[in-house]
Amino acid sequence: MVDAISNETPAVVMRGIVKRFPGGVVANDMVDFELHAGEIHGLLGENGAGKTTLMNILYGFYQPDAGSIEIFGQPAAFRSPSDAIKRGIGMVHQHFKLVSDMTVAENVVLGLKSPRGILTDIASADTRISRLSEQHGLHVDPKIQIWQLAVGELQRVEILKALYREAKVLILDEPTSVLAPTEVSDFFNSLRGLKNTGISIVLITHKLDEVMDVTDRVTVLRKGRKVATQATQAVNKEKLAHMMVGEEIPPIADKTRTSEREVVLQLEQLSVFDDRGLEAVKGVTFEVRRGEILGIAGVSGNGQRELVQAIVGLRRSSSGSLKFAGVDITGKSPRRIIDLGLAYVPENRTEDAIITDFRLDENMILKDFDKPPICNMLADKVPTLLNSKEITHRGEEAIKQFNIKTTGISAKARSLSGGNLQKLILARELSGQPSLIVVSQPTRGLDVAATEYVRSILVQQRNRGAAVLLVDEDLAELITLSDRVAVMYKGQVVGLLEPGQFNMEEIGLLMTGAKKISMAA
Amino acid sequence: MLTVTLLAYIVSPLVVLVVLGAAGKNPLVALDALYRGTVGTEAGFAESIVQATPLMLMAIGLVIAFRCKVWNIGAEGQQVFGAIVLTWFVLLFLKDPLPSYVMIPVALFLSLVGGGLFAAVPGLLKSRLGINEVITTIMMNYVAIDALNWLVRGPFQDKSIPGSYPESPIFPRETSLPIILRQSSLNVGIIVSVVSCVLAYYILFKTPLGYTIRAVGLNPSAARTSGIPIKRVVNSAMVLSGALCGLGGGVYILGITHELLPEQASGIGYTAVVVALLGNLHPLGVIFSSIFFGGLISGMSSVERALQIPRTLSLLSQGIIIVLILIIQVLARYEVRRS
Repeated sequence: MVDAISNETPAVVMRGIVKRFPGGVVANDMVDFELHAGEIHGLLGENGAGKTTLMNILYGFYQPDAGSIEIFGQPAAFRSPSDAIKRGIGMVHQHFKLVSDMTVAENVVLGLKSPRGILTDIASADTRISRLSEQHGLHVDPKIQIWQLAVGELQRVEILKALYREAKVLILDEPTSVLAPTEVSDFFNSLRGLKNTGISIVLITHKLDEVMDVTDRVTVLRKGRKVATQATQAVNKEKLAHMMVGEEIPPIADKTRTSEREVVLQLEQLSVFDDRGLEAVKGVTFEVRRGEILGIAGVSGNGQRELVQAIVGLRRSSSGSLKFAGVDITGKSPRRIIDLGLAYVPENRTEDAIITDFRLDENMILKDFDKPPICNMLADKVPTLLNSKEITHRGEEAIKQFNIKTTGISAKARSLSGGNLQKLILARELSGQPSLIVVSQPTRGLDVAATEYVRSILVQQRNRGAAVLLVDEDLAELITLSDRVAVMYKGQVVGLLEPGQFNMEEIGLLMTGAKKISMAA
Repeated sequence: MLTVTLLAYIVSPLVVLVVLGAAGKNPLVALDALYRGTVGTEAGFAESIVQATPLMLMAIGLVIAFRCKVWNIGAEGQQVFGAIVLTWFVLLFLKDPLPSYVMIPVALFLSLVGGGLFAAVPGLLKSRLGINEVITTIMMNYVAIDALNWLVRGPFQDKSIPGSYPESPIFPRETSLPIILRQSSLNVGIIVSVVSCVLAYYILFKTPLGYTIRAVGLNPSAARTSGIPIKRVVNSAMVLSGALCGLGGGVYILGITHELLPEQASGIGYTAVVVALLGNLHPLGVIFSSIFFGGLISGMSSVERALQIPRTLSLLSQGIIIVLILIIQVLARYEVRRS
């Protein structure tokens, strides 16, 4: 069924877009895309399908090698995002483009002419941002510095940036990856509100649920080509998935229960301060046992980040105790904890887990470059030279075992896509048979195939007997993977749920503080 | 990119010659002098290498620090301090020098240690207290230079000659670096420098320490998360860097001046920063850029003599050449976006 608004001038028409990158990659291969005025249009596809590239072209980040663009009927040739912004295009990227030492307001007005000429006018920006923030339910304090915000809050800042510039077309790249379920529905209501004021929205997403929920039409890309554009009412999730992948998606591997019940990680009344000096974690107590996945549910910014940092040794806890396999690790360095058997897969891959200018093989040895067999030793004690044969071997094994798509071990890590990067990190972290795996947002920004792969790896590790601490804002994923779920709200564990007590609504209520389960003594 | 760089190295001196021509000087005479001062004569070639030698050592030392994003601007102070420590040792044996195969290695070793210790101070201030190393290393330079000026007029001064000259006694010939090319000042210092570059290559790319230095320089957050002790790496980078700069000062004094003079603080440490950057922070690049610079210094002084131009004009020309090289490299990467 074709919708009635198709008679109006479309907001965006992209015809025959071709974009090639060095190395022979054809990211967009004769792609046509049309965004009707006042619609919410879903853009679906695996990583590497070309969706972000296509939208980056629309936003002026890249110039296409061929093809044409029309904005509201007028031809457009953007040489940079500022050209696109002037024509009313706004984009919120997956990887945030924010300056960490500046405040929210300073980031939002960055690049704009000041109303006071050569003097800045952050005060009026503060006011206007607060208003926009209330209007659209995107709560954030304009005076806080970026580095202090959690990922979910950063997301809101990015959206406010576009709204502040009076965008008429809003491109959102995986925006819900940092929101909780109740927040998602509020967010979609804001989108619908924006749509009613005449804003046209492109929603780049992997989540089929969301496409079905909020979009009017959906375009599916696969391997650089457009597969189809359909009205959302004319398709369902199975059809969409099939269009995206072209093949059957295997269901998640069965979780087999293990009988190992030894405690690996023990937290007792642990409290941790955040960067602002406030208590982000307040007296948290729980344990993670061998052979289980403990999921931490919660909206970004309720202390999960600080909790994880304390566990892996990146942040001092202020009180309480932290034990790893019986060993007290409070205040110990990351090195010590890693040596005890920790694997850590951080949420900010390119910042905390990978050195993008290093090659693949160099990244693989990040944790044990000074130990045998990677390093030659003198008298078994003194590290001497790196063993290039071993390093090469490890890199090649990782590529093979984890099916990492790359030109080779000497490729720089920055050339890898999100999914392959995550595979690299997993290959490295899991190689030492770790007893505790701490993983945060494991499938954020990953395509369907990579997501399934990562999930199955986590389940595999659990079956092997590892203890897994999973912090995940994707609640559906968290529930699928976890054996038990702890819900965090404002730094406390407000509920510790056994299997059978898992219930999206219940957890949603706990996550938003509407409910609290008292712990059995 | 490499060909562009090489082209830049060749083109920029020629540009300066054109400028000199416009100023009324005969560019052909200048070109000939430049050629003779660099590779055209034995003396010119020797002088080029001699000038390149301490630069190479200091520049490779800076490369190690810079790769860690530790901005060591203290090469000048470190090389002066290295020379000071070396002088102290040599003066102990002034009357009764030990044989050269003892004196030279020990003296050079002490200049290395001196430079390393001198650099350890700003290194610790950075890693323990987060104090900006650009500021502390530059301030330490003043400390070293003032110490130098005091020492050559005081405890280290040559009291045996009449008058009050600010210089140490001439070093015994057992401390002079052996000459490689007869009748010239070309000495084994160049071998020390080149070997140091090769060693630096191995350290940076083949050892765990070098790996951590590069990792911390590229992404300290990821390095820290993976258990790399950032403080220790920063300290090591600074000490290693200072040590090589100290050695540069030692090679300078034992190869060229053979006594401690106020001219030890010639500014060579600051030139080394440029040499390191022009060498793309890579040992091989540093070998080339330091030899280029040595040739530049030697060639321009030959031009100075031939054309009778003042010293300052020669220094100005050197500066223009450096800027030209950098501009050419930037232009080579510049892309005009099509609308």
